[in-house]
Amino acid sequence: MLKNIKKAKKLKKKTDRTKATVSQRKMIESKQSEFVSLTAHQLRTPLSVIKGALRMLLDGDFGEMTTEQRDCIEKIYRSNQRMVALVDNLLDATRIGEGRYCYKPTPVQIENTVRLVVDSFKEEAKRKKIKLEFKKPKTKLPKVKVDQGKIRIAINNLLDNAIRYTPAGGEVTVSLKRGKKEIEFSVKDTGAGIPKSQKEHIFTKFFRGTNAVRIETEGIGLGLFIAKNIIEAHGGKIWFESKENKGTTFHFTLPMQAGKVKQIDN
Amino acid sequence: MAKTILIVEDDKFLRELIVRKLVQEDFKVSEAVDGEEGIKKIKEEKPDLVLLDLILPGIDGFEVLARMKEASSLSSIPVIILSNLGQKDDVEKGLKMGAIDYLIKAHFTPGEIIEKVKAALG
Repeated sequence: MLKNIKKAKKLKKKTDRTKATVSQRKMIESKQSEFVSLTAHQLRTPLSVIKGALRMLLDGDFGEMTTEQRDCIEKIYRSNQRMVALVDNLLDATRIGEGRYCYKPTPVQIENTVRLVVDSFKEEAKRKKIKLEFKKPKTKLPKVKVDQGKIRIAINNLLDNAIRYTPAGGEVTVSLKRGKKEIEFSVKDTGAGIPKSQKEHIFTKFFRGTNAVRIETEGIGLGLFIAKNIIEAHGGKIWFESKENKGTTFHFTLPMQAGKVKQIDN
Repeated sequence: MAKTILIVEDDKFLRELIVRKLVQEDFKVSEAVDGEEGIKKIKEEKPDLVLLDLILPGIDGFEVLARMKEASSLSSIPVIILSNLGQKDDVEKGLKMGAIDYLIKAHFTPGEIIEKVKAALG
């Protein structure tokens, strides 16, 4: 009897300790995400001003520049844009983690959204000597009820990866078609591919493939995590096929019928 | 006659850049570094348009906008919000409160901001 009481007391102590650890961990996580969010917001202000000033330099607002000066400023501008994107990704990932990522769906002609994103990568693809193609749907697609801004982020992140990890002379093909109940999107590249051993981690927050890190030191491994969260919140699926050194194809689907979007309001 | 734009922005560098752009485009420009000064200048100078930052020391941009909309003599002055707050809720709040446009700083260059100002003034 006494033994049992002792045992029970010991067990209770252990459970209390576990409870304390869980709540402590939650507190640390919430403090961490608060810190990241605050820092990211603070970083955004100077980054925006730098962007503005560089743009004005490039537009000739401060007088003419030599070709060399212009090249240099253009590089700084692109690096700054990368930083703006990184900070935006950090903010998005924090909001997802806190369940504060807001979805407000409206009926959208998805083909236009895809075209906008593809067009925004044309210059980069040309610079990297990559053939970028958009295979339009054969029939006109119905409008789907999605949060356009968020879907744009998801497509942008997939395309950004495809272009980033495809060498010069490679190809990136975006296609969009109508499935039975859903709209199917894919982006196929002839890039580095995802090593077999790392396939299961690819959508994990802050994960980057070992070959990806070798190709590009920049990047913090949030793009796919964010894309997956966005697609799944819309009731869609996201997956990929990949072969190392051959290329990767990412797919996602979006359901055609309305009312599937998980609506989250702040 | 040249139209007057009041810019309420606490970041000195950004203010200078936008002022430079506006002056190049022949606008008359007035500046305020916080909400308090912003309200004072809006009342005194009755600008043709206000470029308004949201996070400001003291009275914030939302409050400036609310006070403008309360005063009948100021409520018709068009306001374009210029902010780092990019959440949909902030954008919707600003537009609901009567701003004619909401520009997220990181996504617009000074040149594009001036285009929006011109479009707003027709």
